[in-house]
Amino acid sequence: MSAISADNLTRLRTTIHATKLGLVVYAPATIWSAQVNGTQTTGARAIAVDGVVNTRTPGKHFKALFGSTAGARDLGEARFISYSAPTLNVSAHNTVLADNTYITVKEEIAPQSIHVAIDDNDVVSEDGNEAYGSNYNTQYIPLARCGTHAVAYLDSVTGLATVNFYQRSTAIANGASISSHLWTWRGGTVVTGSTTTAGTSGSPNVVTWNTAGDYYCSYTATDSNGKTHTRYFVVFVRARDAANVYTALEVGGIEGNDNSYRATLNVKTDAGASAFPARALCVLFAEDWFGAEKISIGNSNDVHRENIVMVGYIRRGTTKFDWAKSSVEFEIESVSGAMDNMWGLAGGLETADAPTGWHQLAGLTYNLFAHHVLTRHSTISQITDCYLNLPTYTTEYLDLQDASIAEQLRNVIAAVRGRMGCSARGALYLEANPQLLPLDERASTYTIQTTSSDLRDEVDFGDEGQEQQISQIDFAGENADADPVFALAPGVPWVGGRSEKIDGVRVTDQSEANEIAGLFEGYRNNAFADVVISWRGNYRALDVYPAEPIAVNVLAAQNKRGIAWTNQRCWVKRVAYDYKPGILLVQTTVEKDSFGSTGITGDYPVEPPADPIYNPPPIDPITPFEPPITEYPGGDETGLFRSHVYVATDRGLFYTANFTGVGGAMPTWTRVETGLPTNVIALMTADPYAPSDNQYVVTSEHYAYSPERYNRIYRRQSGGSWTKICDCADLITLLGLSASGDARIEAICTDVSTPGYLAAVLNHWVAGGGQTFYFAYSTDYGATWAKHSATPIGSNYNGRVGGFAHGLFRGASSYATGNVVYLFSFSGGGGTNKLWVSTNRGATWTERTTFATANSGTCILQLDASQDVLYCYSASGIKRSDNLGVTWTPIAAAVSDLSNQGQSASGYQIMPLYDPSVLPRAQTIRAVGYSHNVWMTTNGGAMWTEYPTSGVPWGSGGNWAELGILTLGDAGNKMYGLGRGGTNIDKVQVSEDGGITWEAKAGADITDSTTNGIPGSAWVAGILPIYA
Amino acid sequence: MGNYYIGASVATLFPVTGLTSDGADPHPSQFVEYAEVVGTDLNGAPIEAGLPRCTWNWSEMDAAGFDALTDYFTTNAGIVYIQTRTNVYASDAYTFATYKARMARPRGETVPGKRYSGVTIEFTMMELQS
Repeated sequence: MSAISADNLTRLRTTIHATKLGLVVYAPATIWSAQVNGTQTTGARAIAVDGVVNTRTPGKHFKALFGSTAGARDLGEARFISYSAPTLNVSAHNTVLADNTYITVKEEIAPQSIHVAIDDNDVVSEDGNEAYGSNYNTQYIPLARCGTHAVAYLDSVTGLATVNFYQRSTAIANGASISSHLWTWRGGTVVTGSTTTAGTSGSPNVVTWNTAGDYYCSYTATDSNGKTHTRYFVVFVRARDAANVYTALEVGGIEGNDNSYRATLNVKTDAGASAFPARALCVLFAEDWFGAEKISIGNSNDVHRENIVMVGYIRRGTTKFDWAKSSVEFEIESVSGAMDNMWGLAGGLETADAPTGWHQLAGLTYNLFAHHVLTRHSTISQITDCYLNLPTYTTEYLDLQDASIAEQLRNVIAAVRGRMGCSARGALYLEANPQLLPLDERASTYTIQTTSSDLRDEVDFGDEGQEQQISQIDFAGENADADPVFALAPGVPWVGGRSEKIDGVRVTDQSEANEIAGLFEGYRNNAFADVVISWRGNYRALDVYPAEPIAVNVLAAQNKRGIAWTNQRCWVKRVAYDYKPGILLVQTTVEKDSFGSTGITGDYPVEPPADPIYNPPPIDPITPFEPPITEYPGGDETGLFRSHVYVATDRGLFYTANFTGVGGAMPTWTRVETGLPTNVIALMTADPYAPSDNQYVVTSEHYAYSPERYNRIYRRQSGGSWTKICDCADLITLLGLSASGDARIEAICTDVSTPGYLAAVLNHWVAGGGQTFYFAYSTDYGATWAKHSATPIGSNYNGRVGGFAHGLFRGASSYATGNVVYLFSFSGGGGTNKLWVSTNRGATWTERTTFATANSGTCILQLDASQDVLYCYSASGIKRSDNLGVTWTPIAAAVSDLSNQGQSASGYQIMPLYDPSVLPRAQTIRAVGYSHNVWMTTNGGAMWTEYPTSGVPWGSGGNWAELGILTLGDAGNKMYGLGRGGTNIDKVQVSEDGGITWEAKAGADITDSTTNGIPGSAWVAGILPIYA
Repeated sequence: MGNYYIGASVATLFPVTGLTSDGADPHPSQFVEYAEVVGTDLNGAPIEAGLPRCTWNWSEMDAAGFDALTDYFTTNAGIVYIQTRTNVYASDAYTFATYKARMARPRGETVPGKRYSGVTIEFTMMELQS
């Protein structure tokens, strides 16, 4: 970036600014048409056609419409791939194409995602059928860049419209360089340069057009490996005052931030809404005057396009035609905004020295990740310039979430302090937040150093909060081996503010972690984060992207707060244009340059985290809110412990009919395993409508595809023998999975809204592959099983299921809408923990949240499914989500003991109070800590108390704990506890005071394997109290 | 014949006196180099912004001339080209320049005798023509 030139500064500061905006909307021509020859099956990608009319040969990804009449798209659309008579190849679609269906190819590439295909052998093909080639992911294609679209008027004297072009491409492959260029300027005449000349900003190719029209042109860059990449752009040539130049405009604000630009336009025209179709490319351009001089001053990153104000696409559903006023109103958004609506499939990329598939990339970096998504999973790189300027860390794995393309990118690049957004002219930038870069890495060339003449009215310095918003940054980064690197900044916390956790940021080493922790601290405590500067006029050279500093000069006497800044470095974070005919006023919101002192090395655990040991999470069999139990015995058990209790362990399944509360007699326990092939119980639950008549267990959780390992689901009816209702092989067959893979049934759950409903999650993996989860369900108590499709819920590297539950819709007032299903998995080997959510009873799934890695982050998710409230514990504390996991709000900072727990392997809970009538929901939360104690908060997590303060009911010592605690639905203080301590002490305990004191209900010391029936050293699989 | 011209294009400019039977130029006219003041800079100086505007004035005009100006406004949908006086003074005279402009509907007070007094036409969004 270079500063605004001296001549332009003079113009900006000393002349009267005037601007007249115009709008052009791209109307792509039909360049190829045909009709289907014979009925084509649904989704056919190779289509027999006849009657081909080829005006111009389409390029790959051009828009192809299917219609019942010529030119129509009432039957859908796809992307043109290729044509070789008589076969037209198109991208995936779901349209049945009858004989003689019309196919129309438009001269346009729309912003679209491109989906991969995965065959039965897990072989990935890009764009549906493009197999991986030998060097695609080593000799990466370059990024062709040639500036934004052009708008030019035909000169009234010469009759010519003149446009300048130059390229700014970059090679991506290691060691490669751009070697040649090829322009196509359809309809244009080259005046200077040639179709193979690169051009520079100072010596561009000069091309003229003599006829008005929309010219779809292209530029192809070829690198030294012979790899090519093509950018398409439109040259809008217009006669002045032509009907398709809309200058009678009302602009309801043009606003840009670090995500995208958006504008609301009201066009005075008789053209009607059809002239402004959804997703149409729009270019807002300007004629500018600075005094008597007609000239445009734009951003120096787009020389020769200074007249372009904004490039965007019409947002679907926003176009409104006012017949009375002959006006059309609609919204446009930049391409990064459009990317929010382009869905990408979940997947993962990994580094490999010699890639053998699309998912392996040589020298995987965050920039290469973005390059892969932009060039392989979307059309974005072909319709706008893309700049990949992220920090250059390498990484072993990166996940593609089941989310929009924009989310996929933003979620990943956040780890390198990255951000993604557009310039006003539509170029896409992925770069580090400049405020989170070390000072010596930040851009230092000021776009402008302000004078008093530049600024209009008083600078609004915003509202400063307390002196420090953040007392200390508790930083947990990751190094190249995905090992945690902890830092604290400042070393001694500020007196004010709150502590903030920063997780998952990539660092090189401890030294860099300390530095970055300091940068975060400085950034978060920036007192001048929203300074509003109104400029004297048309300063649209200022933009959010790329990050370029400005130097602000303000005298104390020039603002009521008496703040004086001298060449204060600031960063533009938002831009707003206020337009009325003839006048364009620019306002920017800037943030003062921030930096914090380098932090100190953080607190590492005294003991290394234990290896993840899978133990099924305590079953949550009772719906604790108005349970639809049909067998209520008539006696008032409310407020009492239920007399009938099952305890499932890996040493057996035990039952008592005389369970009592504190002070009651010791229950008598008996085994209830008749019909089971093993006493190793992995999971237990019951149908909520008839819990004593329909109980379910999963036996033997260990690698159980082999039948002899007994990984099966059993049902017990009315106290009879257990009967197998399903095993791994059944589900593998049902789901159409490879029988050569391994699998295990990892989770089951019932649904409070549907009697007889039982869902199961199958974890399936093949050698060398990752774990993939599949969903199956039964509506007849497990007698028969069904699938929604073979599409997996998702994958998690070395993942295991940690939570699975049916919930309700938020705000639902009845049980009738139990459509929400949650699945949480944790990864044991360097992957990430994930939350998936389905809102249609498991038919489709969304990967909603990716947590930090297993050994340094989240290990627990508590589902308060009755309220659709989720809790998780991570290294940054306890968080809560009220919106199905879309966002997480910290409710408690890390408690040291709980923090240790967050790094332990399994068996810990955060237990919300279920009954909101007793206390406001989530005010009372319990957590089980590393020392086996119960931690409780009664104020939403602000303060925590550890119970018991002396004596540990489950045994003390040891380095891990597995606990199951169930809060009953009355006052919330009745709790069952199952414990396993490091000294192999297992107990069934009860508490009636919220976990402060406990009483054993299965023998004083369960290490006595004969006392009351439950053997010692049992792994706890669940506790199931029911009305009998 | 004066120096004030009007037309549907630069090539078709003609003296505005051709529309007014009295044959009088719109004198005195006012020319302002900007559209409005949008604020002050940090030195307290007003910030002028927007395209120039001007006003043509006739102290009195007969109804036929007023109607002709109104018809011209209607016919051209308010978009015209004009040659008008600027504030640039050179060689002992104000200079004239040609602009594309938005023409407002003529205004005036009717007076007895089928005449109008205080006739004005405002032109805004004036784009200088080279």
